[in-house]
Amino acid sequence: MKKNWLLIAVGLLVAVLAIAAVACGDDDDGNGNGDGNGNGNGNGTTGTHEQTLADVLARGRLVCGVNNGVPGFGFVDADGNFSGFDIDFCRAIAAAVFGDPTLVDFIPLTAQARLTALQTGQIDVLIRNTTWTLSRDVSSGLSFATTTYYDGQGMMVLADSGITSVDELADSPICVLQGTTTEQNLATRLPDSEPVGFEDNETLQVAFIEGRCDGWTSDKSQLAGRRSAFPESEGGPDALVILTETFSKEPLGPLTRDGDNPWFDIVNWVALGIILAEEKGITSENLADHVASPGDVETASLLGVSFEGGDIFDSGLGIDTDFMQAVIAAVGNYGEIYERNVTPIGIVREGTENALAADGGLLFVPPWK
Amino acid sequence: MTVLSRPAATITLRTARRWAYENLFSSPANSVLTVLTLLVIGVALFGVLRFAFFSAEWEVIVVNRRQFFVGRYPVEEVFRAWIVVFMISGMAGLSLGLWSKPGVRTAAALGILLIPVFLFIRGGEVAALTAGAVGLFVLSHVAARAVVEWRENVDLLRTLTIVSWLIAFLVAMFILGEVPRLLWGGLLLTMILAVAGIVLSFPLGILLALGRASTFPVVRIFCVGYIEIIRGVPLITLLFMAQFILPLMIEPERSISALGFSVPITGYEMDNVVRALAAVTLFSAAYLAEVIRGGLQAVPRGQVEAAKALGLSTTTILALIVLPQALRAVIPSLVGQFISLFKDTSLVAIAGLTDLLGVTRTVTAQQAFIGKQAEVLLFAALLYWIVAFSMSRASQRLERILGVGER
Repeated sequence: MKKNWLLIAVGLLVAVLAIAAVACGDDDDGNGNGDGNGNGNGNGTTGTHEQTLADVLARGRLVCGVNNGVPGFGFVDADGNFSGFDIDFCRAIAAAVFGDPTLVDFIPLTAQARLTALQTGQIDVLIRNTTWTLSRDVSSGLSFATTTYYDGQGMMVLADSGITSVDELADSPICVLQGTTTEQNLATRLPDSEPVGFEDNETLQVAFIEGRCDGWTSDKSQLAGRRSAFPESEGGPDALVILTETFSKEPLGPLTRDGDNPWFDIVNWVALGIILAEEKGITSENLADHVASPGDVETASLLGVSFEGGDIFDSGLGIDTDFMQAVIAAVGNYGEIYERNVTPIGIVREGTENALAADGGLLFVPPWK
Repeated sequence: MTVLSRPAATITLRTARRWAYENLFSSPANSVLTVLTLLVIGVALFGVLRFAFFSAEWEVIVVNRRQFFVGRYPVEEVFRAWIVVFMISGMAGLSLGLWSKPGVRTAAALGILLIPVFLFIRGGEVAALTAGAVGLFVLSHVAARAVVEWRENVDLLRTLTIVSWLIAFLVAMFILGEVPRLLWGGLLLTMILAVAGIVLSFPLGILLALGRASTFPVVRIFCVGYIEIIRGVPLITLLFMAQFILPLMIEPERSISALGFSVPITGYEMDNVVRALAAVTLFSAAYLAEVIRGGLQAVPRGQVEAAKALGLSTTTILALIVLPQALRAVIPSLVGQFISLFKDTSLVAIAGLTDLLGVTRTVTAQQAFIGKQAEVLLFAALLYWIVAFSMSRASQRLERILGVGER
């Protein structure tokens, strides 16, 4: 029979598929933990949402979704280590949970994949310059913890252009990246301007140097990064000025999955604790002194030590009471994290939203008690 | 080689002048075209060379060279990659020697291309190891040539070499696998995805092609459906689904166990590499199936009928008559598909993997190297091209040995 060999081949194919099917079998149960909320945490051991902490502890490592392409915030250094402002917050959470900031795996994610990765349980926490918006908070099934960095759209011009305010560019050509929210914000702020779109910052910079546009708009953190690396042949960083006005709100911070409040609380209060540590003047260097003799009750509570012989404050977060000691020892306070990562790319902290509330900024921590 | 390049090999000033006259300036229109083309090539070449030697700052590659080659693979484990490199160069030399005479021109071209790569590999240890790998390649090649000269019949050796390539692949995965796959990156990851994708999708493609030609409707419909659905979906969509949708459908403790290897396939195990590999393999298999179907249709029906008349079993007909001819006929398309798969692996960035192209993006985020895209992309392009060019030359060699187009 002519078709016999075909049947044999077909039999082999079916066998291969059967093997594959065995591996993927029983997926009826696997999907069951979605609870109809559409954001099942994909780890399905008990069917409840509130188990990220238990999963993290069982695994022995934290999985943090990050960026690997933003100078100062999330990138990979020459030795292959992740580094940056967002990365330090990941390490801080690992330090809080395990007492060891190295027990964290970083998953670099694209902008398109980041929310899905968290929704489907690929990662425990997303710290990847993600702007907190109403629709993201409500419809993505994710929760935004406290803002760790207030970014916003700004405008960069040539220093010798003499431009000092955004309004002076009302009907000028402006260089902008295509398909970004920055493009929309530009249209709102300067409706009569002439946007000149580019696919990437490289071509944009070339066009800017050639004088095809008078202004270059993007998030200020990005502008600062580009400015600090502006070629010396064109005058170096000093040839550019970032105007003071910020015309969009981009609050960036960590995200967790909706419905897992215990885990959300840990992520949220680790970030808040880092800010509070700066408020209290606790640094990675003088940590031992504060532990030995805390200056006030709140400092003692923050560090999980006794104040003048009183009871040790229990945060109720379900992790060690002295977790902030490990965090501060690992990454320092907010000011130290900022100094280490953001200052080198040339963004001054004084006078911005990222200063402590006491200094006129927006960083404010609810009472730690 | 081609006819046109022959005269260049036996060059004299006189023949060169005649060749140029006949081929480049035979008519006024041709002369104009030649001058214009030379101008365009000259300007482009001048631009690239001026950039490469004067304005480019190659520090970004020197500093990050380890990332380009092995990604975040820990420095104290890099010796594993070296073991694999030595294994491959030894076997490649052996195989080349067993199958054909040395291709001096190809070797010279690759040698020249490797010079810039060498320049970036500063540091004695790495240079010594690289030189060692090249030396092993030459040595095993010479040894294989000697064996071929000594014994006329090397069929057994050739069969052994093919088998040992497959074993080497498993051994390499075993050696490298001691390091979490999360840390794999750079050229290492690109090569693993490409090689594993090719090795796995090839048999799957053959089965799909045979299934599509089946007279058994269920199988045929299944295979046609599979091929058409996969070919109708962009690879990036498949990668995205493999990465994020698949884990939702599978329980956490599940893993594929075969031959003593256990490959976890669930979300928290984070085996992005395996999932990306699955997507690349399934994608490529559909395209290979269509290529192979073309080859199957090129085998005359009469041959199968004749073989049956002789009383050969169906398996024998398939293995000895149909497939050898079918596959040989489509070698150029097969290799084209493999090269395309090799380049398609650059899409795995969506899965959180940092392959060779991904490294070019991450290293330019380092404060010292912001805006050095041109340098890193040029370097990555060179690496991609060296690999793709080698594949294409190997396929031409294979075609010559098997006499494609001559029978």
